Amino acid sequence: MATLREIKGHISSVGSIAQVTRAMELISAARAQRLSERVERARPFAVKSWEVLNHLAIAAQEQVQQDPLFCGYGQTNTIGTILITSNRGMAGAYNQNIIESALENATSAAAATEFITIGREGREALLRGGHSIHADFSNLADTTEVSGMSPVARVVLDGFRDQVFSQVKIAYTPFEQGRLGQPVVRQLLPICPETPAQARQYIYEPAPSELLIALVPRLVRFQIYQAFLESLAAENMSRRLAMHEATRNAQDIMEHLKITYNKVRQQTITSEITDILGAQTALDGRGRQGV
Amino acid sequence: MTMEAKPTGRVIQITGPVIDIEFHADHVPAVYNAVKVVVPGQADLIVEVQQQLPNHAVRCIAMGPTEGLRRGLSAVDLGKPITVPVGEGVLGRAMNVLGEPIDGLGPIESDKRWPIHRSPPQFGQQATEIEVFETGLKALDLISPFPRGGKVGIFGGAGVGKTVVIYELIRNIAYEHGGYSVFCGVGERSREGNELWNDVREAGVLDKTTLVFGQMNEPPGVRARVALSALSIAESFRDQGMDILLFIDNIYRFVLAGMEVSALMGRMPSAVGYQPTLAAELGALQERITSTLSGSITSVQAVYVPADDYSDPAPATVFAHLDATIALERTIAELGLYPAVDPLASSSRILDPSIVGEEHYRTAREVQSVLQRYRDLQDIIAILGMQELSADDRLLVARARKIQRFLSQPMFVASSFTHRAGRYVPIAETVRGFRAILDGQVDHFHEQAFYMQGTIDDVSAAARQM
Repeated sequence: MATLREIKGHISSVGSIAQVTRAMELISAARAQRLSERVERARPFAVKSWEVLNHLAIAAQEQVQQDPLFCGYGQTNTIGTILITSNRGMAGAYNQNIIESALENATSAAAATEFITIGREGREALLRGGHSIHADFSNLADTTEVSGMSPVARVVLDGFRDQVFSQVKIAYTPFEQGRLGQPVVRQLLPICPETPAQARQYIYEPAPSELLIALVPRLVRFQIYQAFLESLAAENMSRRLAMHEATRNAQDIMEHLKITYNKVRQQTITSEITDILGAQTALDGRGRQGV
Repeated sequence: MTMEAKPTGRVIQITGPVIDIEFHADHVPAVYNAVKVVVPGQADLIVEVQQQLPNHAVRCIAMGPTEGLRRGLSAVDLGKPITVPVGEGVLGRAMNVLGEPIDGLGPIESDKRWPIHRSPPQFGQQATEIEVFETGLKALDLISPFPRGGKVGIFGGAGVGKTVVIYELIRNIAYEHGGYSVFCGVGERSREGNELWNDVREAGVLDKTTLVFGQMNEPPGVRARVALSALSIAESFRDQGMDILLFIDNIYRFVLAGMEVSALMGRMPSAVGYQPTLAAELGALQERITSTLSGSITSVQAVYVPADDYSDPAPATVFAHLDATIALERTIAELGLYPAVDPLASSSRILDPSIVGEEHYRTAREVQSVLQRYRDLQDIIAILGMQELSADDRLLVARARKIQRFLSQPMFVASSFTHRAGRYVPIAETVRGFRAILDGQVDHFHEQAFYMQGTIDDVSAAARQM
């Protein structure tokens, strides 16, 4: 049985943890709120611009057929996967989920996978697992704007052009309001144009093929940015939930310890009273008669 | 002895198990002498003198029930302490505190009787040689190896498996040992004594065993003396140059019996109501359980820990006398891990590289440090979850959980409850198994494969089946 002092120490150490987790819960809640606004604002552009790209590719079908960016290399030798994780832990199963699904995807793919990591947790997990990392963009700030994604887009596009990768995927966690997002691994390059159900005719100026050359790097960059933003918001949402759970756990433990503490205290007092009374009785000679 | 000085007296006061007897001024029996109280229509009651009172009266504790006693009954000083039969004649027999047979097999044939109160061996006579005694239980052999001729205590609260462990040890070492063993039941269930007698007989080692019982149905005087009776028998074998095993279940009941009569004898209660003579009473018993140059007594004692509180004066005083302590922990028993040995609270004087060997010592210490680290991490795991641990810590936790499970072992005496045959694991196998876990050779096995297994090879077999 633990002593009162030990239990007290235990209560205060659990209490300090609870304080930290509570603070982190509040911070992540505020961040998740701010980031969710950014995600919501960027989402329509990300979706629509990708549709436009699709459209352009169909409009410029002749040129596109020669471009591996759209039709691929015919065979897949190496896959490049952008893995977006957080820089810090304490986010529940967030990092574990995305890393696991990225690795699952890599092992089930026909070709070898090289990773491009955004986020320290992912990089460390891959290094531990002995996976090959092509480039790392960890420690990006929360406030990173679209322009901050240029180096990533550059590496991806150059890699694709130089045939370092014949396919590029992106693994990220889409943001969902109020709950944990499910990790997603989807193809980024080559862009496979799909004929939409109702094909509308647009008039492009300048010509679609020229527009494509200018737009592809920017839109790929924006896709990566959007994934980064979604992941960031999802990370904070996940952290908020994890820290909420942790605070509750810590409070439960404190509750239990408190009960134990009271019990032990009561017991100590009782045995002390018994001791005093016993000794008193013996001294009074009210104990055994006839001695 | 003159005609006037008759060694008879009469009962003047009866207070439960404590009886005052007045003698003739010329013949007051000495302290620790046995006195026979003659009760008409009943068997005679033996009492033991504890105190000399004014007016040539003595205060005694009864070695039997005091119902039916009256003041004025006559008592006869037997002139010597309580004696028990010793020597080969007691083998295969079960007796009570007075050395009377309780197995219904007729009188015990022995030409020698020894008093139950004796002095501990002289300082110069005590043995100093140290050797490891294999028990076949992994948790015990690894963390708290038994010294041959040493004293081992098995501590635990109510219902954590002390008696099962001690019976398993009887099964593993007394049955294999080949020498004589003495079992002493102090204040435990009479049923268990009966079962033990039958088990020992079925195992065919009854002719090498002596059983001495003073169970919980007996008055405190019996429970306070029965361990001494058993000890005198063990000492007599030791002094003939034999290696003896002495099992005592449960030494706490001995202390408790002393406490029950202490206040009645007019002593002031000490801490937590224990007798003020607690240390002296235990010392008188424990100091006699010693190995000498001629022979050895290896003793295993169960020690009940009231309210799981190890700071209670009774277990705390027993601790000081032991060479090895095995702490059985309720939280481990609750996980279903038996024997519920707490590797962080158990220890042995001989867990030393110069005695058990470098490999054994290092393995035991590493097992302890892994489990200690796991215990430190438990709060974090409970609050934040496993994902927040670093990869190293996660591996350590996985190994610690495997170690915890590998410390459990199916026991022979519990096979009817667990439906698993008992396993005896040699020390070398034990060390090899834990080494394999620590070195990460079995990281790929599921932790459930380690539960209730014998050697690490059994674990591999179980893992392959899963």
